[in-house]
Amino acid sequence: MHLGNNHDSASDDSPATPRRTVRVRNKPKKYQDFFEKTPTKSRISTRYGNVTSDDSTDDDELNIETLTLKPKALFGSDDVEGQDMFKFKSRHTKLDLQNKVKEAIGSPIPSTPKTPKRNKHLVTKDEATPKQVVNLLKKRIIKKLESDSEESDFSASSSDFVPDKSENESSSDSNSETEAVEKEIGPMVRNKCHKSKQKDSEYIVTPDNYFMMNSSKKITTSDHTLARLKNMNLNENLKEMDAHISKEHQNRITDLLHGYNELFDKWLYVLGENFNIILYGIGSKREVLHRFQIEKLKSVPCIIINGFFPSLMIKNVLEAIVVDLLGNSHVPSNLSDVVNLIDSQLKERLTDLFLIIHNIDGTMLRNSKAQSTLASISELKNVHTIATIDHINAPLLWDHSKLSKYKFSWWDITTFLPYTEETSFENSLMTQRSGALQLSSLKSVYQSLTTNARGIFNIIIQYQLENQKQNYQGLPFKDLYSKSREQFLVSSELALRAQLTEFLDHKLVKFKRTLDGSENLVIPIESVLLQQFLEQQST
Amino acid sequence: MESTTSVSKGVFLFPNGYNNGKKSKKKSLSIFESTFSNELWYTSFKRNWDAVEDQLKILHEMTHSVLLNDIVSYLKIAQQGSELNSCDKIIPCITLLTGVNQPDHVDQFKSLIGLIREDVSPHVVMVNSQDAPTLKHLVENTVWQLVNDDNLVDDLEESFDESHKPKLKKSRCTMKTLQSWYNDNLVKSPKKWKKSQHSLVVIIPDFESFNSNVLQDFVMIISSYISTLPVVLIFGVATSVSALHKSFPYQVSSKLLIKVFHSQPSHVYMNQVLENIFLTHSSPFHLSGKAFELLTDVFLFYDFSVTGIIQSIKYCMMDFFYADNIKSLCGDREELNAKISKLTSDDLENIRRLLSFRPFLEVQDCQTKIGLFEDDNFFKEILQEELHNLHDYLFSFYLSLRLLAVFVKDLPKNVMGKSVREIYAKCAAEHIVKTEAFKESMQLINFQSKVQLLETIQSAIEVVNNALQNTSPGPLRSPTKNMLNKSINSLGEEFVKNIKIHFAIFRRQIGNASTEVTVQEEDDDDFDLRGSRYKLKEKLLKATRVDRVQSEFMMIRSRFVNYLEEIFEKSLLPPHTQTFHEILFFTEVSNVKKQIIGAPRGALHVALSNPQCYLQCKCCTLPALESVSDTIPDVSLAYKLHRECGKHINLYDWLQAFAAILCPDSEDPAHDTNIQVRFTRAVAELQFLGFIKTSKRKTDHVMRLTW
Repeated sequence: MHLGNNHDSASDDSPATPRRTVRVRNKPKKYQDFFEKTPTKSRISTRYGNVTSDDSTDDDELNIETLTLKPKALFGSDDVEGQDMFKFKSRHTKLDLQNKVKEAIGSPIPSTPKTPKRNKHLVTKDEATPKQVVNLLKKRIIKKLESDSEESDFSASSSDFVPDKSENESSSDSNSETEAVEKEIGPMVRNKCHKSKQKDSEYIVTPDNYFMMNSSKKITTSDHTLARLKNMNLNENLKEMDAHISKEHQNRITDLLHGYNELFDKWLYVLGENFNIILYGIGSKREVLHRFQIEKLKSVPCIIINGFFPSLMIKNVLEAIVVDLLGNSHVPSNLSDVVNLIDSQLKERLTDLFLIIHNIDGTMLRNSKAQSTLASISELKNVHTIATIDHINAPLLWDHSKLSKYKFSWWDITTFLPYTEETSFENSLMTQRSGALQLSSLKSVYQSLTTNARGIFNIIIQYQLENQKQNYQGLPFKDLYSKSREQFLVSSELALRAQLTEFLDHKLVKFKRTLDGSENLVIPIESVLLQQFLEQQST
Repeated sequence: MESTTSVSKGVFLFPNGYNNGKKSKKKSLSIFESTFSNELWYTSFKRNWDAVEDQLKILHEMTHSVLLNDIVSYLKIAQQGSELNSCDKIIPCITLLTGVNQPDHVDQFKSLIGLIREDVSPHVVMVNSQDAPTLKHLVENTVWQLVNDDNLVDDLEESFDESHKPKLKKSRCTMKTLQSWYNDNLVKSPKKWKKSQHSLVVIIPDFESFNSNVLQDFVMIISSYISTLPVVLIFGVATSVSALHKSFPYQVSSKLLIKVFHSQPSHVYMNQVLENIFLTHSSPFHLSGKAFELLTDVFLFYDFSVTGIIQSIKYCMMDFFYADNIKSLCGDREELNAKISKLTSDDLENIRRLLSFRPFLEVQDCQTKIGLFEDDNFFKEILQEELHNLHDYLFSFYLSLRLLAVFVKDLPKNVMGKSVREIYAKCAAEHIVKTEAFKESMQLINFQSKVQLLETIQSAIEVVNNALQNTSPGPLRSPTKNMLNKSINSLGEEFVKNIKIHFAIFRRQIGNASTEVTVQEEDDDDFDLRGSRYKLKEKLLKATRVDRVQSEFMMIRSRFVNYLEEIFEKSLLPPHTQTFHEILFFTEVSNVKKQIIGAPRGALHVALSNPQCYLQCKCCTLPALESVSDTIPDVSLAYKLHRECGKHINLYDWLQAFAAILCPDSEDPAHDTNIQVRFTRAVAELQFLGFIKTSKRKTDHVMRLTW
């Protein structure tokens, strides 16, 4: 909580995730060892049961101590199961996704609870699926198998793939086999639990699994790239298209939002008692806060901070408060001076200031300085903070003392609204991958270069495109010099370096020092983009 | 909302009529006051909480006073001895071991500063680690605070007119400035300042957070000035003394004359707070067993912070009072009648709806029932009666709780727990007399020795006396000739007085009772047992068959235990059995639990894996948590698919799967631009939520950040 506050206890046998092994395997030895060594609470309790009859000893007392030190009310049955969320899935295969899809479209919403892990069951059901879907799937699998030849570390199964219906079975079989390792955990833990009937001894972090998962360096996914999609030009479409939400869901979301409106008065009350409010849950919470501001905070000074804004500085926030609102000439450099200044001026003028921070876990607010500044300001009696978080690890931002300054009360405000604004900046994956921004900035810099400099840059690009491989070391400076000389672009090394500074300043080129001490030049842009750029230049 | 989105700005100010230039002369109500101050529940909450805060303040001063007085007296001694040390360049230094509950320390240091200002020296500064990242800042801060101390301006000679003098700039604050300031103000004008008042106290409250090099240098600098500047250092150390020794090498620590003080462990303080303020019959509201357990769990398992638990209790209290006028009945018993008369008929209707009213209603006869529903005045009368009963119950409940705590405190194994709060949690949850632990403890009392029993009875009598003293003198309520009254009249002050008399009698009886077992059997078996194991066995067997004859003490003891059981059975009924307990007891713990300890990750997981849980839609019924369907929100679908992947996820395959689920009939769904956009959006949102990040290891791959 505090501290992350993932109060998601593990619980007894989870009926929601029944895992069945197709083949019974012995437990991995390591795991058993681990389990024996772990001082789980269940064992303590059984020991306790034995010793109560004996006379008390120090050891006995110790046991009782450990027993009583169990949280009684922290975890309830309505908590999310920790195992659901944090469980290791040790081995993944490329077929997992396919199975999932198969299950979804093969048997649309089956009546019996079925999990994707029951592969055999699934395959036998394939007869029931519509013919066209089977064909479709077959085609897709064949296509896939043709394209990936070497992936996955399961050479045995992947080597004798035959594009056939029976193959389906074998592949899924091998798939389940690999998962058997991981499935051992489920029943093992469950058995233990039935004995002890203790909730919190249920979830055991198994470090072995972590290493198992991370040991293989090889990436065992297929080699498909998005380049296979011919029409992948998202830039134009993205902006225009509204997020897709079905009619039914739209109505439901409106209902949800109406429900949250009811909370506004209570929020005001909570804020008035010097607590601050933090909102979590999936979906953009901007709209909720916006309405809160309009409905309740019309007459008081408010500052809205977009934490997701990629070049937000904590200085901007302080300036907004100290200079823009309170009318001082400058912001003191020392944090405690700033806080004292704000405190005294607000108190003097009997004003309450409201800070609305969208995404207090935003990239620019993640450093500890920003957080301690915000915490110290939020602590003030006349400052009231409402913040939102979205990142799953956001609670890790705050330590003990920051949390106690913030005095958050936590509210689950799940809206399912799209994060349109939050993801619209260039640091998001979506725009980064399409590379429009990089491309256009590359273009504009390129246009401002002299012809000679353009030539040099072209040489680097071409070399980079010709030498594409897994780890590209870059173009050695010597080679660049000789090539540039050949084309009469530069006359001396010094001149070349002068030209290069221009690129370096714009981060078009990076120097990379190799082991032998020579300097290599790399363009930190993906080759697809470079190709595209070259094509555009040539036309 | 568009006004708050911009590509060049992240902070937006809405002054909303805030006028910077002139101060508004008339005292305008703050937004909170204007919204809530007309509500009965709000005023009543405010009043009650203020009362609690006052109590807390008193308690706080009381608990810290011993330690702080120790420190202050040491400081005084150190001042006198300072001449001795100055030749060796040794700085007197106090190390205060504060414990890890850092949020609580602020108050402790504040009262320490106050006390030092009063008793030792007006020159006290406190420098936090966040204000002093480097040595320069540390020195500047210290000197600046000492030189520009506002408290001194008034104290020093008024004729000096220091207020006109501009404050020293921070950059000019060096040790030299300090020295000259010290010479000018304190040495040369000795008429007001006695020699002993000269020492300068520097408090470093969070020792561990400082860069140890900075502190080392600081100590060395001060030690070189110590002959002219009598500085005393106070370090607040959260962990242990070894932290001090680890971060200071010999040449530094040899300059310090360290005296260590231990502050009270936070759990002791918490027990005090709970027992003295919240677990009393005078507490404005009472926590139910579950709520109480939750708060103590948060304390014990998360933060160890007393400030934290007080804030949580405050939060519970806020939730308890929120928008509920009948809660205004909480608080002082004397004002109860006045408060009841203020209730509107709507409020009375709400009280009638309380669950605990039903069992009460069932035992009434028909006439009374009708009266209770039809006649507000009659109902008010009954309500008043019942609430007084409830207060009586509370009084005897908390007293018995303390008595029980006294009796079980020394028992082996601590089946019931050691502190009052543990026992409270048990008693509030169920009828304690019926539990195994209670029976076991009573059995154990039945084995106690005379001396021990006398001691416990003595302390129990003290508890009772204390309780009786604290109640207001005079009759708590006028005796009414009400029919309902007589049946429950056994609790309250009378009951306690009764206990006191009984205890006194028992104490006398036990004191006088002999422990000798009157021997009835004649010892005729003095013959030689050597060599005859059989006979010995025979004798022992016979001995077991003879009835154990009890001594007088034993008999009284068992009578006493029976009496204890009797009073506890009567008085320790759990609160939820009482009529109208909802008015005084906070029970809706599930409401506040989520707000006190948020579960952001859990909420995300639930929303993504089972959207129906939040949306309540008809279309997204999922057979299992892991299954997918084409109706669930895109981000949820992408999330579920990504959980099937390993550490690296191929975007293309992911898209294929995504598209195949959304349009199972299409020949090549992945080429549909609409699908592509939806997928991209979902992926971007997952990245925003922190489930995935981009990866350079392979083209068009992303990395999963969860297991």
